[in-house]
Amino acid sequence: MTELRLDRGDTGLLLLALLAQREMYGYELLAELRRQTDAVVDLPEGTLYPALRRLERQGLIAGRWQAVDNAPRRRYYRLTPSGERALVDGRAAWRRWVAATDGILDR
Amino acid sequence: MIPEEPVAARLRAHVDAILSAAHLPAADRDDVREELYAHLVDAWASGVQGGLSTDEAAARAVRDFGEPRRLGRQLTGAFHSRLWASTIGVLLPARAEPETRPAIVTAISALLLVLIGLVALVSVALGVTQPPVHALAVVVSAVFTITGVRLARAGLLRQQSWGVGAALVALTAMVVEGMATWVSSGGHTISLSGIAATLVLLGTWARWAELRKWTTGSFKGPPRPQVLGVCALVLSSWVVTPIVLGAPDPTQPSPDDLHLEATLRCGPGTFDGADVQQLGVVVDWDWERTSVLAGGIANLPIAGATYVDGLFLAAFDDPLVSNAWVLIHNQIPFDVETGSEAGWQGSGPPAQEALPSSWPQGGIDYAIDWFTPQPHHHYRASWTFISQPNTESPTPWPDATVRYQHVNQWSVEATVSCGKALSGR
Repeated sequence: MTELRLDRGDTGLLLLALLAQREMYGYELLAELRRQTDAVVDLPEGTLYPALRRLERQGLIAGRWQAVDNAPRRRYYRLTPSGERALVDGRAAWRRWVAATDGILDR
Repeated sequence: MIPEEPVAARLRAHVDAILSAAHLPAADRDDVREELYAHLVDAWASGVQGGLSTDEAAARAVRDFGEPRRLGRQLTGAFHSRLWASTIGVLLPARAEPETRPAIVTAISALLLVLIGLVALVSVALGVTQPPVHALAVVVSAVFTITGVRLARAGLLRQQSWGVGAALVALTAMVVEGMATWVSSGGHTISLSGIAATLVLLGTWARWAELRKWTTGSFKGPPRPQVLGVCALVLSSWVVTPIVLGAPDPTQPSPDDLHLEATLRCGPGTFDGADVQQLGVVVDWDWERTSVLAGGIANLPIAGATYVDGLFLAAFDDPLVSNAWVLIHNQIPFDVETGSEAGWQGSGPPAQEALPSSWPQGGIDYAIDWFTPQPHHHYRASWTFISQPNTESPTPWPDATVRYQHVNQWSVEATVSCGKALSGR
């Protein structure tokens, strides 16, 4: 099982969560990330692709090319079964992390 | 919405800059290129639809995408293990196009190629003329050096300051070796590669600012152990080869494996009816061990220089055989138990340069077959001399020095006087 590094703010978990909603391509992922976090999470755009490729090489997501009218073709990503399990584990781990840190920060 | 030129070219150039700083598997490179370009086009189209001019939209798309070198490194890390990405991946981003290289970089690079060729040639030459362990060590250290020089050259061509540093270490080693060759030959041998390296180093000094500019974009603070490792690889041949060749090869016999006994027999004799003085040199020896490998005492396909085989020499402290003493008989090396021959007589007095400088002129010699000797067999060789028959006064008995020279590796030497046997090991 691939371990997501929550302590360093790894964007992998967020990307997995977004891709659990639907298949998306890179630019769309960034736009959704901004929209769904009210622009609180705003990645430097180029850093998205190393993150996507890393998740793909870990087998958590899979990409496919799709032709687009009047634009370069796009690479769409979807969650794999391993990615779904990683998302479940990562979400639980994140909630434990937040609960633990809240326990300190709220005192 | 697809951008037209020159906007498209500007977006493509940004993608190229990112990829030139990344080290990606060839199979993925075009995919990544296409994906990043598609993103920039989307970002540009979004800007245009938001009311920006095409140029402004392109500028914003490029700016928001991020700094190429940083993204290149991140992409490298995404495709390779952390260890790989932090070492070779950091050290070796894509190389610069040849037409952008300063002449001094091209000169250094060319000389490094020459160095690689020279190291390979020397290692082959030494590899086939040395005993097995020596040969192996020489070849392995040459492989290390070639690897180091190739890494240094790769770093140089990829505008890395560590590459320039490692390349200069290699050139400096060439200069030092050239000077050592010149000095050791008494000024008779000039190393062309050493001269070329000197000229290029001088050129480097003169064009240092150009080189600094060349490495402006170099990764800051590459891992020091790796850089030192590259320099160590570069120097390995220069350091290892002399050390290895100066040490005994464990597959070969050592002086401890040879039991040698020399005897000088002095007394009256007759020759052609005349009373003469007779002088006999007898050398007996046996080997505790000939070689750990099959095939005799010195598993060498070719010998290094003066001696082709093991060699026995005898010389006298008197001005010599040709004057006061005449050689009347010699028994070439033979196996005492079986009577079979184990060597041959030298084709004349050994060349003076083959003898120790302290030896008198006119020694005589036997070579021994390197493939013949067997451990614990008893071998013998002898020479018999008489004094010149027409000499009226007694000729002083000389001392004899007997020397066994093992190829070019080691020797055993003993001086023996009349009637006194001397053992040497």
